[in-house]
Amino acid sequence: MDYAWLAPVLPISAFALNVLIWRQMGARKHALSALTTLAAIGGAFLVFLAVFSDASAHLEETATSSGRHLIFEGTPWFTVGVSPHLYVFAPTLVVDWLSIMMLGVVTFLAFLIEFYATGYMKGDSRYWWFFSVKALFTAAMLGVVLSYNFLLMYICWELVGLCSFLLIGFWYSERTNAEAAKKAFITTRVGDVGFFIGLALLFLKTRTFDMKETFAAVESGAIDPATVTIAGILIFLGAMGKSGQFPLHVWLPDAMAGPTPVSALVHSATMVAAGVYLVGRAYPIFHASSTTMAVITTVGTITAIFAATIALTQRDIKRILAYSTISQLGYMIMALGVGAYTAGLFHLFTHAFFKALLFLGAGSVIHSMEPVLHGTGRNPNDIFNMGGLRKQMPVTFWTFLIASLSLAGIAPLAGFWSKDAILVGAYEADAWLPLVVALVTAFLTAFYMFRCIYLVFFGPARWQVATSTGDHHDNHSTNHDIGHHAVPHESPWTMALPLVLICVPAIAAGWIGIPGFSEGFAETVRFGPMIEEHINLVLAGAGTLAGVLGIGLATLMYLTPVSGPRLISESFPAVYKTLYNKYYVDEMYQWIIDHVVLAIAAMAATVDRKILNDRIVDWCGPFLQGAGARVRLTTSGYIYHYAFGFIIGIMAIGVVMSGGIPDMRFALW
Amino acid sequence: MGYLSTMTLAPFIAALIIMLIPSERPGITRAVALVASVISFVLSLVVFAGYNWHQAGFQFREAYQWLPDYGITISLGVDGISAPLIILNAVVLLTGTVVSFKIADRPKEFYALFLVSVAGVFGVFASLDLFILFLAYDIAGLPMYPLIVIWGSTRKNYAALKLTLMHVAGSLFIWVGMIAIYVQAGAKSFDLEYLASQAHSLLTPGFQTIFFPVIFIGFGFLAAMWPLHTWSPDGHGAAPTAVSMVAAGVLMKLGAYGCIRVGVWLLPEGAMVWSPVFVTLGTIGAVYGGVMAIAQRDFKFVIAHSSVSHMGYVIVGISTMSLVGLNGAVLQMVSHGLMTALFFAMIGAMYDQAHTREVGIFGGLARNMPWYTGFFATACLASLGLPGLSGFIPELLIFLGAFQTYPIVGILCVATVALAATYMLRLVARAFFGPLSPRWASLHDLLPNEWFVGAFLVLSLIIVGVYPTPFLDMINASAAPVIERVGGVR
Repeated sequence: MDYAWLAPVLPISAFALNVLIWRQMGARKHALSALTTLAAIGGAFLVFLAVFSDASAHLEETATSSGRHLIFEGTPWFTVGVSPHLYVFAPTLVVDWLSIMMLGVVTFLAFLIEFYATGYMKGDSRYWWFFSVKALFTAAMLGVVLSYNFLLMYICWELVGLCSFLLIGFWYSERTNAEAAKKAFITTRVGDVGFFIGLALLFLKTRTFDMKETFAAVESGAIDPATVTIAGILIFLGAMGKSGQFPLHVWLPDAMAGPTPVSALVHSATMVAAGVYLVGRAYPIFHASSTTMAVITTVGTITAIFAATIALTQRDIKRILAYSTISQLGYMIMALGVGAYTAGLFHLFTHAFFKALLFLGAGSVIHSMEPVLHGTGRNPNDIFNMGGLRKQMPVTFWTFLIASLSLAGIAPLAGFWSKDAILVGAYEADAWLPLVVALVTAFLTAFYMFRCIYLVFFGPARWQVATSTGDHHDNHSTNHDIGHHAVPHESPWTMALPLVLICVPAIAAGWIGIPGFSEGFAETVRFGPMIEEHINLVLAGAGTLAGVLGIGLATLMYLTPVSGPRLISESFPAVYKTLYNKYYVDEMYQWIIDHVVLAIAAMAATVDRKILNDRIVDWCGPFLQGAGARVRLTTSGYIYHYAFGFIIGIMAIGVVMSGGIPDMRFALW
Repeated sequence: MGYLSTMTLAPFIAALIIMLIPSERPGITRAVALVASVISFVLSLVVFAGYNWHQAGFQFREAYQWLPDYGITISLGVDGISAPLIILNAVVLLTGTVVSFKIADRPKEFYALFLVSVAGVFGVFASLDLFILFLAYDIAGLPMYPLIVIWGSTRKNYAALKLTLMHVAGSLFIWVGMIAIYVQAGAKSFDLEYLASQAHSLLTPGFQTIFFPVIFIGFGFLAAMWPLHTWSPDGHGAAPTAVSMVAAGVLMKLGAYGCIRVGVWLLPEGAMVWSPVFVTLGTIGAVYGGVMAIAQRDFKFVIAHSSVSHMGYVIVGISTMSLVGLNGAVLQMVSHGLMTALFFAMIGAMYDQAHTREVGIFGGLARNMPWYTGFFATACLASLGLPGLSGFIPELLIFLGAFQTYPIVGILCVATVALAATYMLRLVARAFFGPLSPRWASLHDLLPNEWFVGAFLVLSLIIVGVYPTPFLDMINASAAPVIERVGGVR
């Protein structure tokens, strides 16, 4: 088990190798980088398998009252202070079922998505850089997963943010991509400011970043409850930023500007899961305060329904999935907030698979639409430019369908079990509002996913219409060259194979958490004693019904082209526009940035230049000149002026030497 | 001759030799300057390697009689606070020399003045005699005037005059404070260790309370402490590349170093009294610099204001009177020196080709300048405190130190990190990302000497970021006795 550190070290070595050595290898650098990264992530997956097979025995051996985990303390990184106020910063790793679970998810998905990317990114001029950054990302993410020291976690957390920045801005020639990358980094940074302040507050009390000692201090009541609450909420801010929780969600849809394999791994399955993982990891801090838990529940609940409603109206297939991700992350956060620890993390586990699958499917669709719509000026991501693709792309269609059913929570697919666990958790916590919101969100989720499926895979082939009759103003020669004989086709096997492979856990990942039947997940990933779970038939029925209703409504509205959807959007234009424009949150932030932040900065710059510089600093010169001109007048040339000054001076010295005014008479006379 | 005196004199002697070389032989001038900077650099490495990391007090001591009647001795030595700064200065000297190879206008005079200034910086860091320290401080600062006026750009006369006058104004404060300490301590000695030993006897609390702000403000001018920072944006903006590197990379550190060595160390009682005031000024500087940087349109002005912000952290770290914060402050000086040297080297390389530094008109440079982009972006990431680069650990320590004594200050300082992300990423996204405009398509990537400078400094940023252990060990050992005098380690 003490080899777990290899998991992050392998990919970061691959990064170093790619950047320092393979980069110099000319054209071969691309293949070498991809191979190195794949090998390293594959190696990390093997590490996971080894840890996993060792885990049961080792973890049970070390089972204590405080939980079952193995902690590996590294050599101190640096030391500051003097005894007894000595602060040692040492990297500490933890292996417990939570980190093993994430280790598995990250390495499995990263490997398959990297494999998919070898096909998807083919021909890109910076192929090698893509795989290098992906290796760095995987290393950082595994670092977050294995850290048992807040400082180490924060470091890896920031590196994850950096990789996200580089990957979103991968195709940096587009101004919008660069802006999206910047937005992602800065928005998550805002959350991280809270995260850091929270950590600093705890550090002040415990004088350590070590999680074990921090948790012990929180649980023993050594830290006052107010500090625990404030620090908990501030740390949760970091999770909100990374996991795209309202109101820090704005960066995540824009992050879809990155290549689709990035969206699949970074912005659906792993990096955005880091926030949920943090809540799970630092649960003792949150759990200790009912206020913090209420904040977490509220944020999660709002996010879940807020993002689901936006997803209803979006046209870009990746944005639909992005809002779906935000909504599902809200689901998980909500579950953790109401105390359903296992359920929230179970959903994190299952969601990673089917959402990665959905993104890869979307990538496959976009990949085949790009040549078809090339030169027409129409967006290959827009679902209203697609249609009827199930015939051309059967593998993509079936895997996408299975993943959507799983996300919609249809039994017996993975998503059903985790969604059901959350419903049960909310019910048992008497959290009625979250329960209702969860059901409504389940309905909306099923609806928007099947809206997407019908528009993409069923109905008329609108891409054909696009090339033959549409866009008269476009360059006709391009239309003739490409438009007429380009037809969507199934993606190459390097992309199709991962789809099929990820399909397996998208179906079956939930089967390790069937109440009363196989409770592997509940036994292992838990907070406190294991909770006996029972199937609640009413809730399971209600959840399924919500999903089926959503699918049914979508079928009615979108399977055959009718005017229903347009009718609805035209009858409620205000609602439609608000949803389509994402509740204008982005506009609000933009307004604040333009009219508050930049205005203050511009004002400060003016004040600095015009007043501090031109008035005060530059005034010193004329002032001294003027003063000199006046003082010069004292040099009058009259001897009695000088004599007068001389006498005054003597008297002053006398006063000082004699020690004060009262003694003046005795000193001078 | 010991290591420290050789290291300090090498650039000085090189400057004298250069003055004897005919101006039509710039190759020899460059060679002499390079040899001198390599000698100083190697010696600084020797000092660093031979230094006993865990021991407090001064090492590598040398002493030469000069004016015994006035108690002035050329007394040299380094401790854990000055040793990292000596390395920093040697790095800036070497990279500044290499990056200035392309100076075609009067290289002889340029190198002579440049080397004298850097020799002065070595003198400040190595000196254990207050008078020599002060002398070296002025030797370091005054060559800035001709360097900016002759080789500078953008309002150079104004900027040079302003920098020099503010430097001199600071010196005036220091001079008054220095003489006062000399007289008050009574033994006709400028020996720093003797003066420090009087901190709890002859230098009475009342005396310290009066003269601590005099000293701190005096050095605060060069440390760009708000509101005395106004020379810095204009000065950095106008100075030629290598001079900006020295001015922002090490001259600002002279001020902060003086604040520690002369201010806090000699006058601990005064430091404790005035701590809240200077913490406030430091915090204002940190926030103010960050806000200002957002509004700037010129590359150099963005970096200059970010320097005001980062030096604000240093002032905070010093004035919190906590050991963690002081550790952070000294390491931040090293980190900030390296990153600004990199920034200005890169901006200079751009300016030589494009003849403009306006951020908004660039775009898409990553396509034709990949190395340049990589180096510049690394500097930006270091500046916004990314872990793994040099900026993260010192900022972490300063913030923790601030939280220990002034939690509100800690919160404000942490918040400026988000500002740093904003203005730095704006530069990266604006200049390097986006479509490549045809106007800039002809720009070429770095020249060999610029590449060397960039790679060298990037490597330094990574080393300090990943393995700060030796720096922190030596800083910690020497900072602890300083903090023991100001209320003890907490």
